[in-house]
Amino acid sequence: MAVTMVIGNIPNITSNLFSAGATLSSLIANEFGEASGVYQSAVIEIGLILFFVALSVNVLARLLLWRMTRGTRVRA
Amino acid sequence: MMKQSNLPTSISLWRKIVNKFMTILVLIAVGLAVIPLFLILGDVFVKGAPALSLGFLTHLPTPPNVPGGGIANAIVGTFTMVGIASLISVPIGVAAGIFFSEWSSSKLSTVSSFMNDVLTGFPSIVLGLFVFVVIVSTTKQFSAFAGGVALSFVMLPIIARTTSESLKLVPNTLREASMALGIPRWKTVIRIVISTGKNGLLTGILLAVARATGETAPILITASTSIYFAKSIFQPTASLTVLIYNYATSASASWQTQAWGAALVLILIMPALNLLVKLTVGRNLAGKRLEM
Repeated sequence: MAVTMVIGNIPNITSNLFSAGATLSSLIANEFGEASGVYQSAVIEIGLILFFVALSVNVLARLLLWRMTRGTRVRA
Repeated sequence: MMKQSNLPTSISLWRKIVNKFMTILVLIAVGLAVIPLFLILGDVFVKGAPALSLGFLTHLPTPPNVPGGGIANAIVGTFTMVGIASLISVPIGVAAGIFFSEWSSSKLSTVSSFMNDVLTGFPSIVLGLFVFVVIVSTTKQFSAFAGGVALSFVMLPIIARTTSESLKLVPNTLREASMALGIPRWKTVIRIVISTGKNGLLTGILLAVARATGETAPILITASTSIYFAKSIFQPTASLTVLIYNYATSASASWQTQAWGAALVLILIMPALNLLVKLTVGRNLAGKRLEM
């Protein structure tokens, strides 16, 4: 949400970090109000993508943690 | 580094220099970490204080550039939704936390504990979308109830995690002593473990409440906003965070000033609530100790 206020919310991909863009969350926050029908489904699918992104980051972090703690246990 | 091999005395000198240098580096890092906090606080106080007045807290919002607008309905709305969320998430979260800590050897506990961690790191806007699909689109109505449910998903994993962590800190000897006296396990958990870990539990709940109070995305999608007091919890309801978001991104200068004022109110609510709870519960705990 904090990002939504400052990112500019323009649907484009640029290599310039200082130009306006959008994030998954900001897109949902901005588009959801006016959405209906298929458009609404599309916005909810962005939510699904965001869900998978968050889930995979979480699982990766968990795996990393798991491997690190297992390593220490083997050494000890 | 090359100087290390020259003279024994210069080694200690070099070490002292490195030590000083690193200490300064660490202090600079601390400064960099704390400076944003004070910058934000300072900015909000300077820009928000002019908007504050008794009328600002007790009046309803006005259209842009009409003087006398307030945020009363948003304050009430935020408290309503956080209240609903707490009613849902505190009992379930505390129960789940007890399960994670007291029955940590069971496989179900390990798996659900992991799920809980996943939920903690979840984008809150996705939680909002879920509640929108389940509640708002079935009832065809944005409501404080839906907002409260969405916020309860934000609070639930935090409460469960902090509860289990604070109960794990309770020494095992206390549990064993209770068992040795023939007290059943459930009674041990309720009377011994929870009352020992009560402070940590409370801190966790406050943390979750603070987090929920500051959430914007799930409320924006589920409770929408309103310029009136909601007549029931099944109507669109204003909240401080959504009001700040709407006002701050608007073109009206008067609304932007009010957004700063509302931000200041939002920032001040949490420490006030924190202090209130700590004072009342702290007094209760002290009373309990005297009884014993």
